[in-house]
Amino acid sequence: MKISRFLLIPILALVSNVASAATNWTEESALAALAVTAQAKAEACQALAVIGGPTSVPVLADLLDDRQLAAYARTALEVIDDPSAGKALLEALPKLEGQLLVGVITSIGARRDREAVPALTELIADTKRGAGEAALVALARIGGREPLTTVIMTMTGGPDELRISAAHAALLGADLLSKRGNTNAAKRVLEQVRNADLPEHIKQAASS
Amino acid sequence: MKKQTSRRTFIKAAAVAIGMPTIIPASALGKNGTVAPSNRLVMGGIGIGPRGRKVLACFLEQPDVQFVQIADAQEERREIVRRLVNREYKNEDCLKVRDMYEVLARDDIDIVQVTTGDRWHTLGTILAAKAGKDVYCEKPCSMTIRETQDLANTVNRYGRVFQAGTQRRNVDNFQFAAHLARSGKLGNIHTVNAGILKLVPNADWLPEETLPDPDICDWDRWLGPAPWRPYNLKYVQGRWRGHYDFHGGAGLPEWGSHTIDLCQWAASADETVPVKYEYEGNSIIGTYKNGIKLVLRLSGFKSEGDWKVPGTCPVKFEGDEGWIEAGDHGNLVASSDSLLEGQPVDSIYGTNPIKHVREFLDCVKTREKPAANQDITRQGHIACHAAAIGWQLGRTVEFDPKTETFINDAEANRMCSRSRREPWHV
Repeated sequence: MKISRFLLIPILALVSNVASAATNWTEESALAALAVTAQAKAEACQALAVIGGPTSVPVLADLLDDRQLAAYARTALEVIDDPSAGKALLEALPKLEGQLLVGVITSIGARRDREAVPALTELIADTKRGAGEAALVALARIGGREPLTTVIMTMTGGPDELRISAAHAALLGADLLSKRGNTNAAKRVLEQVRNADLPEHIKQAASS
Repeated sequence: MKKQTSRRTFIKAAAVAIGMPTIIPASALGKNGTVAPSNRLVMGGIGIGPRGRKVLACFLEQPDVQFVQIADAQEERREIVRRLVNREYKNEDCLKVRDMYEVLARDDIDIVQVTTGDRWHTLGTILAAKAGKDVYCEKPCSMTIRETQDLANTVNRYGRVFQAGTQRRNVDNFQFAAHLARSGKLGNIHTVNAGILKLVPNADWLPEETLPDPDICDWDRWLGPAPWRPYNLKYVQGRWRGHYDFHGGAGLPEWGSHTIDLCQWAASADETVPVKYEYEGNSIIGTYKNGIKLVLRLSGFKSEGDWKVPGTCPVKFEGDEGWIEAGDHGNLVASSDSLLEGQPVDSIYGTNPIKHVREFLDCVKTREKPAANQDITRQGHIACHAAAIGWQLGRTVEFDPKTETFINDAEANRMCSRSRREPWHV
């Protein structure tokens, strides 16, 4: 159902807070509100974070390069349980730079999207794009042999500016492995951290 | 109990070489009851406004603390703290910076106070922990369930000492009430009551105003991980409360982080949270797995809520043989006078963190976990956020304390996290 713009004002007037917005909005009305003010767009994104589905993905993806609204859009894209949301984030990687790129990488990590592993690995190597640290954290969140191997290799032999970040990512990766029941793999990661040339407080963090 | 990482010595030639303040000569000699530098904890602050200054004042009272640097997005607040600290130490050594990373990068700093607004509490704590600092963080310590988990997991992984600003765990009358509940003298506890403020999560934006010079107020830094919105002076003057993007858990943890925490303690439920949350008007009823009820009801400071001890942060613990109520004024009221035998004569006020700060410092030295450590805070805050989510959805929700997720409830689970504004991430 399309909502005429003229109806948006009374609809938005009914929305006094995000709490009721989540239940008073429909996906269609939220999508229509995205064509209005920045505040309306932000509120619509917040509603879509609760009720949005695949229909919302293209419209949310269009906001990934918007410095004001990207975080609102990513909150929704992180939780929409449909492959299209992950695909939209992945497709945004080559189009973005700087902080917006870091934001999308962070959301990819939150979704634990394995399809993104090759692209994230490339971002670690591509130091000019300045997104290596975020990519390391995302790989740690995704977990698995290949991503964590990349993290460990960066920690032990990567560019100096990324080694400490890789160590922190390795610690995160170990904790997530333990949480997922893979304690032996977690122990191996922690051992690597303890044996690496790192500041003492990081090595001590790997001691438990 | 796992021992935390030992702290580093803080006297370094490098600090002197780059112009860091030297220690006051008299106390360097340990004269007149002062603490020798080698036993003194060096401290920094991240975001110190009105509440933060009250906390700082407690730290400055301690003879084994030396506050050296403040980082804040607002120059006015930086300067207030700098003057306050310098007046205390009678020197001009306190440094002020905009960027908190300058505080975290200092090897000589052992502990940090994170007393920004809610939006920065989790990230500030995590960054400090990763930098090897122990942390005192004001409440609520998180905006969401996910942030709560991230905070506790990181503090545990890095072996830091953490104290949430839920200081009522170290306030005499509240301690008395909780211990009474746990002692069995009230019989079997069946209901614990937590006073909360009315939830009014607000998504409205204040009118846009001219962006100030970043040296005066760095709006981008002030926002930090919170989503963008246009600048308005009222936000940075403290009127961010009530705004969904800045106020953790739709405002429920504002007092809930205290009162629910006390109820968890009294109900011996520090390792869990209620499994169901139901709503009756402004009240939220949580039910623990063992059947105990956690009733969140409007506090009595405006005479609402039918409390015997009207005022801020009231709690009531009910057993099948008696009940007790406690509040910030220090009052205790119970079902019988005999239950109040041995009650504290002179309780400090509920908002006073002096004993809480002292306990934190003692734990930094012993590496034990303080009363409001990351694990206790995890459970209390998750209970707050879970209750708030259900209230916002306007329906009963069920929660699994083991997986820390809502049961068969995709909408509620989607509300457990929010994306951080780029480039902030953990």
